[in-house]
Amino acid sequence: MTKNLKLFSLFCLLWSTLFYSILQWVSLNQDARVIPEIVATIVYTIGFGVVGTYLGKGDSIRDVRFALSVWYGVIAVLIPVAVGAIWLVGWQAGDRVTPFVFAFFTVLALSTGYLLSRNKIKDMSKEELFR
Amino acid sequence: MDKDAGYERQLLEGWEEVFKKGQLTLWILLALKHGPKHMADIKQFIEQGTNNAVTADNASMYRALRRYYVAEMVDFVAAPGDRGPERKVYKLSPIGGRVLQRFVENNILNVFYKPEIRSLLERSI
Repeated sequence: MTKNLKLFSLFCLLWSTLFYSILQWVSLNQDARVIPEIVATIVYTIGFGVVGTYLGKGDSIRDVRFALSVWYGVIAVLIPVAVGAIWLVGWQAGDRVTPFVFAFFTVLALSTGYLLSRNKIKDMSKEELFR
Repeated sequence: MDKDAGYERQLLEGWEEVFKKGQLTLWILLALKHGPKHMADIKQFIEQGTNNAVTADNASMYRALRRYYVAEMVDFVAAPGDRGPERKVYKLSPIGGRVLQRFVENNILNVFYKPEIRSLLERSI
């Protein structure tokens, strides 16, 4: 499992929990929940594509490109399903705080990952690679 | 006069030492642009091409090639050695070729080959 695949798993966990907590929050407001649900679902789906593509490009082509893309797909399906199952069966945070907490952690994880990766090429600093 | 000569040599050596740093990437990629080579041939190409101005020990060369391989700029195939174990024959990857082309255009051809700069360089010797 590559480092980026692990990061993608973390992202899937945070992103899915954020999504389900938003749906839970929206369902509290019965009046106008259809449009927010549609928007959340679209943003949720696009998020997987964007982050998965970005992280996948960072992985070495030699790390078995086909198997790796399959693993990205598997993780992108399994983790949301697992989080969804846990959400439905067990823990349902029916409050207005949880979506913001997970939104904060998702943004934090994405921005930290972006800043860390900005000066790196295949886990090497530019100075290290071209010294 | 001797004092100046010594100082000039000191200046030149210092400048050259700093100038040479970072040139290894260019020369390794140029060597591979010339054709696939194993490490010893790459090293020989660089030494001949730079009149021994740019040199690197074997360990530095292998480390550099390993980094460029990880960065997908070079690739290699294992070829039978003369007598001993298999040797890696390195070649420029398509990514490495395009990066080299852009680097040479941006930093060499479009700079040092400009007529006024080229003329200036020729007049400085």
